[in-house]
Amino acid sequence: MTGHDVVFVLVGLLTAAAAILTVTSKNLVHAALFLATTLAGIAGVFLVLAADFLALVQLVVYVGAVAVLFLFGLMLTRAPIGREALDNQNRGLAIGVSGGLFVVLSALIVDAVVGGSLGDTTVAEVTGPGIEDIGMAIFAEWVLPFEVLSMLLLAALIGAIVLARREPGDSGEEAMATRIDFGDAPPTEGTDSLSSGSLPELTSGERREGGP
Amino acid sequence: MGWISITIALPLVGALVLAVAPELSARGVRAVGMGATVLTLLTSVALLTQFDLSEPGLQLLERFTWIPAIGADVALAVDGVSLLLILLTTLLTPLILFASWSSVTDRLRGYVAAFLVLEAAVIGVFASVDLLLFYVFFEFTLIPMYLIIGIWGGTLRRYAAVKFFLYTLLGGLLMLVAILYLFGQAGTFDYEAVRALELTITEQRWLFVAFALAFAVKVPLFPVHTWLPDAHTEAPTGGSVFLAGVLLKMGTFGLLRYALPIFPDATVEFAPWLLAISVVGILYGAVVALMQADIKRLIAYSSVSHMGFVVLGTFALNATATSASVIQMVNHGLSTGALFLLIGFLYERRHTRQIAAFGGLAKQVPVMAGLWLVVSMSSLALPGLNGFVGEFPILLGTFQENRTAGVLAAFGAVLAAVYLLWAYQRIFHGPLEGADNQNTVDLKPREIGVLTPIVVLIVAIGLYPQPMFDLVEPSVDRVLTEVGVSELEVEPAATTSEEG
Amino acid sequence: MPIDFIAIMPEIVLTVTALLVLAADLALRGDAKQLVNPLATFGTLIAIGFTVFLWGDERTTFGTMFVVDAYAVVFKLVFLVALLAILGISWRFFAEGRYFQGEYYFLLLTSFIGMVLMPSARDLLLLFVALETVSIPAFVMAGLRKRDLYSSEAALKFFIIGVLSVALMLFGMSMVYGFTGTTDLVGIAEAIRAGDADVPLLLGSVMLVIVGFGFKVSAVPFHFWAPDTYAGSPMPVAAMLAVASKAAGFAGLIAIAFVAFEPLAEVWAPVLGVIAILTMTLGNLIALQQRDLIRLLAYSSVAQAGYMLVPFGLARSGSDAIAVNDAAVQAVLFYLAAYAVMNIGAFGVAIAVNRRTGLRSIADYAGLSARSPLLALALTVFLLSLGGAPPTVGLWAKFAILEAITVDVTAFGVVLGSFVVINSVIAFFYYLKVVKTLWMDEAREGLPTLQPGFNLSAVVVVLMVGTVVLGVLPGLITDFTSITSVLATG
Repeated sequence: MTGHDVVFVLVGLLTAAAAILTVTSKNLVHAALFLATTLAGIAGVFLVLAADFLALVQLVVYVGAVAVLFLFGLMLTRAPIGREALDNQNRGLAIGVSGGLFVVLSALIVDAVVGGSLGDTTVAEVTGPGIEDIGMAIFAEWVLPFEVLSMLLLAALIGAIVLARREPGDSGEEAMATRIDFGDAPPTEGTDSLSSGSLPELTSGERREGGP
Repeated sequence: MGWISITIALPLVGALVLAVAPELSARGVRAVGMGATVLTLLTSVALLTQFDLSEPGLQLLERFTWIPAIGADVALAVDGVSLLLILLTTLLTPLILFASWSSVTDRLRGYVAAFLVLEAAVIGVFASVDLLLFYVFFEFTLIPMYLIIGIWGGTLRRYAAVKFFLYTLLGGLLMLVAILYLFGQAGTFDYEAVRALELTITEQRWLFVAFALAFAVKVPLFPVHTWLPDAHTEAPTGGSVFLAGVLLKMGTFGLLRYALPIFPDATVEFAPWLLAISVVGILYGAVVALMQADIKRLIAYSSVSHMGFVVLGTFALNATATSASVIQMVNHGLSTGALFLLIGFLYERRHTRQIAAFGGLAKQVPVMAGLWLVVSMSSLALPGLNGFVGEFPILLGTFQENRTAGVLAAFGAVLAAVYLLWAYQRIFHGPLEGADNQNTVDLKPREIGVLTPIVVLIVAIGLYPQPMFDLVEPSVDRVLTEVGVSELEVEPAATTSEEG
Repeated sequence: MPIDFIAIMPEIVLTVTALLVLAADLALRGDAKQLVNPLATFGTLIAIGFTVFLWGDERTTFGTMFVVDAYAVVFKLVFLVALLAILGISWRFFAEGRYFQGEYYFLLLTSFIGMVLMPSARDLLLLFVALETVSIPAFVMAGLRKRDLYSSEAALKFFIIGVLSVALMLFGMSMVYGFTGTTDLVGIAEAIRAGDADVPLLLGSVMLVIVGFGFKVSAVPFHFWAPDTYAGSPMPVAAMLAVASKAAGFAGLIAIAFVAFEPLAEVWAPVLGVIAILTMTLGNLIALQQRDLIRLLAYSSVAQAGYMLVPFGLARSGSDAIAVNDAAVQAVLFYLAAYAVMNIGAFGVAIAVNRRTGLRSIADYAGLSARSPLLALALTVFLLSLGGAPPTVGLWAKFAILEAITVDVTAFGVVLGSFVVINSVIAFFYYLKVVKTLWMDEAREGLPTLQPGFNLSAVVVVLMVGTVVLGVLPGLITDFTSITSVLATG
């Protein structure tokens, strides 16, 4: 097992753990932060695999844009995010950690610029396709899937708006149409305001009995 | 278009008229139905005039391209056997419609249309000489019959209709698989080409079983007969008559036309088994018929018994018996059909079919009693009537080939006399008791008119059956030659096949 | 690298139509919004025109990624005609339900762009993108009835299962790429032939891809989303999912199985054969117990997927198996075309009965023959056709499958064939149950009169006539499907 493998395993474990926490976390903000960690971890995996361009794209698009958008969205919509007090009273520790990190990183950067007092650094050639090749591939050979994807994204966007938009009257009246309950569909009583409670029951009682 | 395709097309045209005509009185519907069926009868008689009796093979061939990708054609032709059965079909259908004149008023248009479609499909079954086309017609008969039983039938009609459908469907699908295998071997669905195939004995055994099972359900042979009593009992009168008169014949016809000549070696091998099954069916049907309290059910079980005779004759593989079994198909269609008509007329008057409810009716309804007696006698094979000229040679031929089977089957014929006469006695003789019995009115002229052609044929065939044998024998002989057991003449082809 | 625009004209037309629909929806107000339906129909007709124009042509563009041949054209026509029918049965449903009409038609068209791409795609990546384009709009469409919890349930189940299947498939595809070094389907086949094909990991990734498609075609044991999703979605969407989306899954599966993984057919064919047996048997057995017509149709469509998987179980590798594989692909193609006609028709009748009244229990169809003989007759024809009775196109669909089995009889083929036969009989049991209800039961009192509307009636009548005419003259389809052998020879 080379050091390369060790790093890969570590990054992988971190990513997987963050992914699990994303879906198990009760606090929406925490979940979003764990999601960001997961995405960053995937960027790390790409880096280990020497796909530097992909890693950067991953960081910029997912961590930089998508995850941050999530957080903005949570803040702006005032969605219920769980525990109101996000302040965990650990300011002192936070200052210590960030201060320490600042010192270490600054030292590394200074060292890299000034010259190798901290040890031997070797510069390795980056292998694999260059950015130029990737660009050519996407916009020449693979232009068809690329264009289809743009249509797909548009559809996803429209779809998201349709599902999210709340407009009384639209898509409303037909809602009672499938209130046919044979007993084999999950019960809807006692759910939220959208449930069948307010809708007339079209079935007669005898058809409720039994069920597979 | 030749005569055969016109014969198939005419009822369909009638059905189409009924389907699209906007407003049609009950009288108009009946006129369309009668017109189409009578015209069909005339064209089928025209077919008979075109037919060359000296030629044993298929005649009047018509061929249209159908599915070019797999080389299936609409190929129609008749031999003596199929022509006879087509005539039976075209004769019975107008009589059925005529008999239903007053009994069916609900959704009359659908009823007549269903019968017209059914008639066309059945003629198609008898006339097609392309295996795929045959299969399509064979299966298609299920749908109108299902609707006839299910919509216009008795109280348990739904159960009976579904049972009828599923039983016959399963058999049919097995046959489809076998047909596809034959197609794989022959590269065509053409009947003559498939018939010329040289199949190994293993292939023959499997395919024979698939075909025989499909037809056995239709006949129906013991032990796959259980759909028949329900279907017969619950069907409306017209449906019962058509079922007994024509649909069951598709099974025995299929055995003779397909199972025997295509799989000759397997036929010879399996013949004893089929003889045994037929004998069991004959005796079982007769014994169960004896115990029935419902007159319609009684006749239904008698059908099981009588159709057993037909299969017995077919698999006796003997020129006498096999020809007679074809005659017996027609006889059974006429006599059992007439019995179902009579039961229908009686039911219309009394709304019951329990034998115990009747008694002494002969004094009250002499015409009905007389006709009933004639038809019963025909069914139990009284010499001088048609049943005898069918059943006797069957027994004779079987006796020559397999003594035990012949003796046991003869016992079935005796039982037939018992249950038919006993039923007659319980219904028409004895004291005339109860207001219902005393108020039963005799047959109306229309009803007598329906029965007259059948009774005339019953007597005519009984007295002079020779024309029918002339029609049937060459075709039957060709089949038996293929199987290798013919004794009348030996065609060159027969020399290569071994004597069974 | 020049692009052959003629070859992708149907896709381009659909895209332009979709965008126009979106723009028109913005411009129109109120009741005028329903005019996007004729607009979409018009665009579909043009796309059909271009597709027909491509008939008989052999075109390849974008490298070897996109191929237009007889197989692709027949498939595209099936999709486009299905789209036309779905547009027909959608109009009133969406116009009266006051859904998001513009968005719905946009999403529908986008989904169909993915579908028409599918049979032409000869590259894993394009295949994947096409499949996603089919699925993602469908997720949204399933949830369009937002007030209805069933609809939300439908969308959520469909989404989660869909994403899971896509993830599995993508995982498999990336590993296949890792083993073969190409995403080109023909290239993959060559690489597998050249290399050591028995690497367990490669076989595993092939299975992952196939399982992914198994979800799409709702094969057992990946079927459980289908009934809930069909039952909860707006009914035209259910029709689209049951027919077009499933057909798209089969288009992809054919390409993957018979082109890319053809050298491994000995491995996946038995697996798919067993899945076929399970799918038809389980689908039919559960359908027996349904009392809701849509759920019955849903389970019946699961069973139908089983029939369509049977030819996959017959596949063989090697140059001497071309006849078998050709017959198998043609059987699937024919079955899909027939299935599209009859199943959309059945859903159309269900919409006609259900739209106003909300009734869809089978018991509510009692006496439909008296209330609307036309609809009752149509539903009867469609159900009998789904069962495979003559003289309907369904008979020939079953026939095509059995015929494929007899091309080269094997023991496994016989087993598959007997299961098809047994299941056909089981299926008739519940189809007849509905037919019986239509014709032989008395209607309940006080049911409103049915007003299916012109479009819906026209679609139903055309499909019914089509079912019967194709049943009498199946040559009208077989003439086309019988020459679609290009794919299998790969």
